[in-house]
Amino acid sequence: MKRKSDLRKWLLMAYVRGDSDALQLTHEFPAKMPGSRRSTTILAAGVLKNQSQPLRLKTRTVVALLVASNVLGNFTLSRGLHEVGRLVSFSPWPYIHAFVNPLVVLGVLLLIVWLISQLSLLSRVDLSYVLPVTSVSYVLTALMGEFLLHERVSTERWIGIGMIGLGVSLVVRTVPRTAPVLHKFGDLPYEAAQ
Amino acid sequence: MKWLLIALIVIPGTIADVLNTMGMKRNGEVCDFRPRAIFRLIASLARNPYVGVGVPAMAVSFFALMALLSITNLSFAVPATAFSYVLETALAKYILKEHIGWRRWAGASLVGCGVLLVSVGV
Repeated sequence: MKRKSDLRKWLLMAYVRGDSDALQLTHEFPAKMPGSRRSTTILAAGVLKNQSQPLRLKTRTVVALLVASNVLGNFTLSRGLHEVGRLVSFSPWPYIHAFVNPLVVLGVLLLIVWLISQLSLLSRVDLSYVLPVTSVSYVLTALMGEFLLHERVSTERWIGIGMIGLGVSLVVRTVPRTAPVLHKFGDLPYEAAQ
Repeated sequence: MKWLLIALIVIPGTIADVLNTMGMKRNGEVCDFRPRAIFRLIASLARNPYVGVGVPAMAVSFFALMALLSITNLSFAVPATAFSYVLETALAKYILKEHIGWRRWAGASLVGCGVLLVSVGV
């Protein structure tokens, strides 16, 4: 256990001094530390690797997750609320009562996924990129109406779908992030290094 | 009642998007999507003042939309929100200092018009 934290410190130092994302070392180097052998290093490196493997998602994957959870969430929630009935009130009770319905619960869970993916997307790219790109959800909602619910899609709707598609294809071709990088709560913006 | 609800959708919704963007940019890039990392993210966001105002504002906007949808249909509710695409793009330029070229302006306007047509043409 102590050996592992020593190795961590050592690797961090190598990382900071090396000024690069990849550690350009063989297992031999840390093994030269007092009291450790190459086999220890391989073992410890394996443990560290298993512990610190983040689940990275590409920006496009997060967009897809956001759109899917938005469309399905809105669909199940509106179905559920339709079963519950009229919902205009300043008292919280009708809203709490609505949570007994399983479709409403599923819809709310999907919208929590939507909220988290929206926030993580905003942490990476511009708001003026996220908004148009995620409007694909309107297209999917309309298409779902056509193919799953067999509603007829009118000409105006098809034109609207075409315009959204065109708008999204324009925005996708811009640099996703142009906003200045900010220090944590320091209010000291500096220009994004592009 | 309808117009009050529309104001309650558009104004808090716009404020929420701008504040959430400010808060998330300060919180740092989210790279890890394992459940534990997500919980850690939520815990750190609970102490983030921008997101702390932004998410409740989003909730107000969302419940107002739900309430509006329960008394009118989609073709009345959604056009009001279509306008916010252009409005929020302008706010992103002046408040968030994002660089918005002709592609983004044209894209946001097309999407706004498209959303309008999709919801009116039901």
